[in-house]
Amino acid sequence: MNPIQRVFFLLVIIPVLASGQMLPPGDIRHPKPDSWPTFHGDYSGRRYSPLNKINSANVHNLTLAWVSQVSMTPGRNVGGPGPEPSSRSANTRGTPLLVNGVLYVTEPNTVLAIDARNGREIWKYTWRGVPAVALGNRGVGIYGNWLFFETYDNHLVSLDMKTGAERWNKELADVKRDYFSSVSPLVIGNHVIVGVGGDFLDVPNFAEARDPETGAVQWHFWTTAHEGDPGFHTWPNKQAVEHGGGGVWYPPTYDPELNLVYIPTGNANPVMAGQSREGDNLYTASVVALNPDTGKMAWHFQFSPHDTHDWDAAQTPVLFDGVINGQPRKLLAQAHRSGLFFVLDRTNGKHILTAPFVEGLNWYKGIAANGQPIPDPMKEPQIAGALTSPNSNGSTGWPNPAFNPDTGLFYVGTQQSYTIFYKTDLDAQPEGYSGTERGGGSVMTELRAIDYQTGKIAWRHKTNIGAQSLLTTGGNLLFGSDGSGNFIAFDAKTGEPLWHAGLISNPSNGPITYMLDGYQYVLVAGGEFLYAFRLQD
Amino acid sequence: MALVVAVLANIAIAGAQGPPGAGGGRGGGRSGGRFKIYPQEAIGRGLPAYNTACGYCHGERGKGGNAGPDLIVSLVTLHDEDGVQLGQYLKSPVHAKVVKADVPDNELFDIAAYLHSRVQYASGRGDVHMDMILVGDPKAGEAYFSGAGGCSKCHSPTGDLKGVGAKYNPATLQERLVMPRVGRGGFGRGGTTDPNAPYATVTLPSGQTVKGAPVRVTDFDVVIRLADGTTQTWARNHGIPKVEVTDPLQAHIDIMTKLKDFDMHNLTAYLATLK
Repeated sequence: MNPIQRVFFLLVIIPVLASGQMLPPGDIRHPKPDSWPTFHGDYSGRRYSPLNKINSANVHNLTLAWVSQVSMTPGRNVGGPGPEPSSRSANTRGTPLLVNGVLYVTEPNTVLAIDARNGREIWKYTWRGVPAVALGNRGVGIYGNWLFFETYDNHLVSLDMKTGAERWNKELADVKRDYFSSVSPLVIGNHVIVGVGGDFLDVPNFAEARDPETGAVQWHFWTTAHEGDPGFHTWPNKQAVEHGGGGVWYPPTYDPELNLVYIPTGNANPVMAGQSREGDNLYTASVVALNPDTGKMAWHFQFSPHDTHDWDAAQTPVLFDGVINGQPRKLLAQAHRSGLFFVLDRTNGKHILTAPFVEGLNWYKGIAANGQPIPDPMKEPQIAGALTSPNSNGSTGWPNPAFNPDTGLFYVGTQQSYTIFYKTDLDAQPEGYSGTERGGGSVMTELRAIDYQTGKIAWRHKTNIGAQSLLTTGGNLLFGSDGSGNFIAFDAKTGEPLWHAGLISNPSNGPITYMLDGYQYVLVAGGEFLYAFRLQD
Repeated sequence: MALVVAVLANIAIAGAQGPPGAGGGRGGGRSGGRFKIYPQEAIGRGLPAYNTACGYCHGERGKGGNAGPDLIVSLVTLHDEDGVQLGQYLKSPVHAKVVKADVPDNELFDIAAYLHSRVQYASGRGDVHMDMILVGDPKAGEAYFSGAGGCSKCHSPTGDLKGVGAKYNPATLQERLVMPRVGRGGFGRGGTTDPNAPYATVTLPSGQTVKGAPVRVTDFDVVIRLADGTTQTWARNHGIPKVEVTDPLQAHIDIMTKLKDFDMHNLTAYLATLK
């Protein structure tokens, strides 16, 4: 969008769209207390809500308001080319969105509208898909009266929010090439930002903007630098680029003032054998900052150059404003799967801080002047094995961290792990995974709070889980779990557990919070159940 | 992307069921039923048929050659079922203008079966090359065993490790010397019969201690399995009762965090000599 189009959009299109809309576009940028309109609640990825009606002084009175079992029995609204789906148990890993008292919950082939006041199903949409990689789904995106949903087999489906009726569906990528989709679409202005993943058969991955009205492609960004792109020289040849991976399987974040969308990308392909892709392999395992109107890249930063350990950068690029050396700065922080915590200047991608957030990392030789780790080639998967920390699951993972501006702390679920990486495909042109890991284990799992200014650990709390999804609030609270089925409210400043509820299974998604009818609710999924909590009257 | 797949690979997506036995890949269990499984007999016949009809141009194992592209990631292969689309492509002008390939229909099915098996293989993790694991120096491994590694404090080549080199393949040997138990282990049902399983000591406010296998230890409860097989549970509050988990394999955990690859390879080579 050029400046004139932008003014037209703001002054003419938005008011027209907003009349009678379920979610006026401005309410995404400035979420109302009674809504959770994007994957992270707002564009920043902080997973921070200023709500404080539930706080560290009264959280001990938090009690169950309702519990709901997510039903996978096919609904009235169906779509897709596949056979009639059979029923299965839900396992909710996505983040529900909330608008006008209705929660929108997803499974890889299902969207449900659920009454946020009582947990009852309002409508359900079932996608009849074809065989594909069965990953979780992160959730829907909302634009006006419409929902957007990526099916696991790579279709972007648009639904009517009120009824669940399908408006259209568009194929994003060829499922036969083993692409898969799991991202929750991010709506920015009149763009629906989507992405696809796939690292089983060496495909090049991409992000796209789609038109919310028609589903048409507005722009397309390859996450492996193609010929003519600035990063093309980091690949040995075109063949490597066109099979180079870089999946977009985790939702981006966005800074409206800078008008940059920050897309985290997956690992390079072939996954564990790098002999056919010498070089850094941009823009895999990176964050790329794009103009959402054009898809043009402003900058990139690679967290794991020439990755051979399956360490995607598919963790949240968390955006917040902070103070570095006494100066206010616009920051982007990521706790990367490789065990390093990065703080960047999000205006230009310049490095500010790189520090390990777990102990025992042995895969890099040092930190370069630009803040990137210098990988130790001897810790790449070896034919005879390389004992490496962390393992491919990483020191953390896709479950979202959180940042609380009141405490200045970055919260993340962590693990210290070891494994023996083996290279299995010795061909000059390896394919697919091309390596494996055996043995080792986890020696530490903790919830940790990181001081973003120093990278030092402010507090730690032992858990039985590594990566986990978190929520922090203006009530000095951090909601998370212990990996043993307990949903826990921690004191955000100290890490002390203040309240807990034993669920049927461990929390499986990122908790959200919102106001309804004067009550602050906290909602979390645990497997096939949704649990809503509020203070006792 | 291992974390997600490891967690979710076993979820059967509605509408995504493949043929019986589909899935697997190279031992990673990653395929989720999306590949059609062909009979081994057809795959076996397909290999020589492929080599005769296609191998010259498309290279060994379909990975591409001097004259033809990689067939494992070829859209023609990926969109083929039972050799039908493959056959149509071979007869099309696009292929015919490069080379005329007269492949009998019965061989097309077998070649397709072979190529699809290669696709499935590529999507998995592959097998460790067992014959290439023993790269270390057995004598250096023996010295490490008896010296810096401290292994001889608990183990003996003529005692508990006698014959260990014949008992395990090289990769398993290497894996077990690093950590005999995968993960921290012990939580769950174990502990009553395995001398190497972790055990918990619960100290009650009275000072009484109770020992057992840790089934569950959280901030809010502790469950241990007693020697008689029964379980006992206590609620916990602010760390009371106190719970201490002891791992008999702590020495391996300590070694794992500092072991160098050359020491690991030398040790593996040494242990492999203990036939």
